[in-house]
Amino acid sequence: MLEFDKYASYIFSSYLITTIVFIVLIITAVSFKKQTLKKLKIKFAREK
Amino acid sequence: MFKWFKKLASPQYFYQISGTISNWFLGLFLLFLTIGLYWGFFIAPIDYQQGNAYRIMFIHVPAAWMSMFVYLVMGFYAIIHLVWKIKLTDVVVNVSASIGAGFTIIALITGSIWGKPMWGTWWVWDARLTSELILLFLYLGYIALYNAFDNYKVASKMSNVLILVGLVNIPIIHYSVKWWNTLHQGASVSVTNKPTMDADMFIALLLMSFAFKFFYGYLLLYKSKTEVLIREQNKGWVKEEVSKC
Repeated sequence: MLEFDKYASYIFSSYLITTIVFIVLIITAVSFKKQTLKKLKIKFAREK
Repeated sequence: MFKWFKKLASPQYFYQISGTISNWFLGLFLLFLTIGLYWGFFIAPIDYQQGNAYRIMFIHVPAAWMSMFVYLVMGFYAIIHLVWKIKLTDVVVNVSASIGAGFTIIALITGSIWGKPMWGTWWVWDARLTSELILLFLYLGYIALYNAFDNYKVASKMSNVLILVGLVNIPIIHYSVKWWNTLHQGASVSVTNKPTMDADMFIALLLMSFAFKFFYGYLLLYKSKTEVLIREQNKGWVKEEVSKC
């Protein structure tokens, strides 16, 4: 069973950093997709 | 079976099925993450030596495993790309690099945070830590080298060779605790022997490992779809797909 002890800050910071890295990876993937779709739409609109 | 496999190499078919599969992977990632975190924090007992600090293991170890696994995936597909020139294999290698680098950063930072209360230091230049740091440099080196070229075909060739050269680092990371006298502890989990940890700790570790695998699978497919659109942008099916979005 979890009890708060002297290691709580170490555990918290580890999980926080992991969460941040995961979020950064997802955000970069989503924004890359949005930028790509935007560029392709502009490109195909010009070709018409 | 072989026909389906051959079909999978088609960028258009891959694009169409990867959306559905990636959604499943996202669901499985969230499910295993929830159960794994619950098991790790509320069911797994306190360690008699490390207290609650050992719970960092539930992210540190899966991240370290994934850092090596992703590199092996990249190595495998790099060979296939260099030999058979299948387009999608290069997409997988390219897209996996940043994800693998992310896992390596998590392994290094959480390992460092765990090391401070346990070893009394944030970092030592022991074999396991140093070789894992070199793995991060390999990932970053691949990304830098790939982006240094305008022509992606030349970029792929050069950077895939770098991946293959770096493959030697994976067994070094894995066996470092056996070959050298290291501060990092030896393997508690092995394919051939019973784990030397409590069963509940092992279950939580496995659940988190699966969660991380499904996260990799989800992100790989999500990013690969975008990469396929870029590389196939002159094909008719891409115009149709873009117009739907």
